[in-house]
Amino acid sequence: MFTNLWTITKKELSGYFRSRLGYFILPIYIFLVMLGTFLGTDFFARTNETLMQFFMLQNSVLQLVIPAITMKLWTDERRQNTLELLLSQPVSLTAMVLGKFFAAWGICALLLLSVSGLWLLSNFIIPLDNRGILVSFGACLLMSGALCAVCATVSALTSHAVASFMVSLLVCFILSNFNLSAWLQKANISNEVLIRSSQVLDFKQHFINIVSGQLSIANLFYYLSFMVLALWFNVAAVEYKRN
Amino acid sequence: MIAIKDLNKSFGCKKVIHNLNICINNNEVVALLGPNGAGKTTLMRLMTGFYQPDSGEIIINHHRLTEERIAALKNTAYVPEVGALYPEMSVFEYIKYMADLRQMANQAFIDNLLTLVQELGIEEVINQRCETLSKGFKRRVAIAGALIHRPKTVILDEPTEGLDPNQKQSVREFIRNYGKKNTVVISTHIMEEVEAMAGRVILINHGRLICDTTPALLLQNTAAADIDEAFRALTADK
Repeated sequence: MFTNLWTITKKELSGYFRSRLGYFILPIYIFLVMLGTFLGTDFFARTNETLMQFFMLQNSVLQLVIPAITMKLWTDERRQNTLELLLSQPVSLTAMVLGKFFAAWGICALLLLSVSGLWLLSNFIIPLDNRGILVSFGACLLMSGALCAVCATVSALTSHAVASFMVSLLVCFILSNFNLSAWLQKANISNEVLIRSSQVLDFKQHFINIVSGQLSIANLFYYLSFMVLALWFNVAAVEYKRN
Repeated sequence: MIAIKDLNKSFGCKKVIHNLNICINNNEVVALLGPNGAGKTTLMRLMTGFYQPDSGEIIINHHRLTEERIAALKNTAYVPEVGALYPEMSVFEYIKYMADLRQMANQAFIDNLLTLVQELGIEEVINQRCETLSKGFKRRVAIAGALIHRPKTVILDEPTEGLDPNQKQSVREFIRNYGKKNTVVISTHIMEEVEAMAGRVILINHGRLICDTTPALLLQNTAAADIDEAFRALTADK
């Protein structure tokens, strides 16, 4: 299974640069991050030792970029009529889904790596909490993994890359911005269990917790279980669509 | 060897395969015939594990497809009717990807590649991107990708579609030779292809088996002048 998984990951990763999608995504991501980082904020202020704003910005930028990374994962297989070919290979569906997911996640890691130079540069200018920043990069990676898993499932359920992009964008926006507990409080719903559950399930809150230095096993477990669940849905979506 | 037992498949309330029983032995080239919508492509997709049957079973090289999917497909290759190439890949990259999915050793890959590119006449396009190939080359590259691991069972949907007469001739000869040591199932609409390649004809219509015989016996039993006429006699809706 792992050999096939790696074969598919390799093929998908190189596919981003063969189809030139990678060459578009990378500069757009860097541009958005740089714009958000330096526009209207004092990035090199001595108080910015955890680069908090830089990481909070990642939440917004990644939810724009990840739908573009994942939109072609499954829709292209359908458009090129290669889905039939792929699904008739002696490869498990889990390996196919994981292979594609890891490729998309790998691109996210590459994007984060591309802006990590800013962290290294900042070290020469302001005193930084390097351990905290490393954990924050981990948080970005975890969050992008969860978003990749959801968007890959959307790609498996839609027929066109554009439709996949739009639906993924909406899903990412809801996941990252919809605060259910605040909404419940506004609606005067005071059920303790409901409010507590909504806080526990808040996608963005787990990210904020890690970035603000309150990393816990619960945060890790949340994102990892989110990924597993979304990938399980991805397998089910491909299975459902082919029959 | 492919054994199909009591196979049924429906899409919604439309039943496309009705209780099909077929046994295809080793080292034979079988032509799967039928009019449009007869269920040929569905049957091929069932035989390659793309679709799950509603009931019944398919055994490929002694492995049950539903329970031992990977083992059953290990020595099987499928070339779908349309496309099935990654446009942004070069021909070499595409064939290598197919070989990697089959976990082929490097030396075996190189040996088979050298033989196949020569047999199928695709040497000149080996470094070309798949999207830039002509229809005929695309078809031959798809066949090369499917056969790179020298599978025992090959399922080809319309293998000579889009080829010019010379290419058709060479691909037919290639399939005929391949079928001497392996099992080949071809789906086709071209009746001359049946006579040129197949030692056995399986005719289906509305998802049901109409006849399973040799081309010579088919002509004899239907008192037809050629396979085309026999096909029309057996599949015409009364």
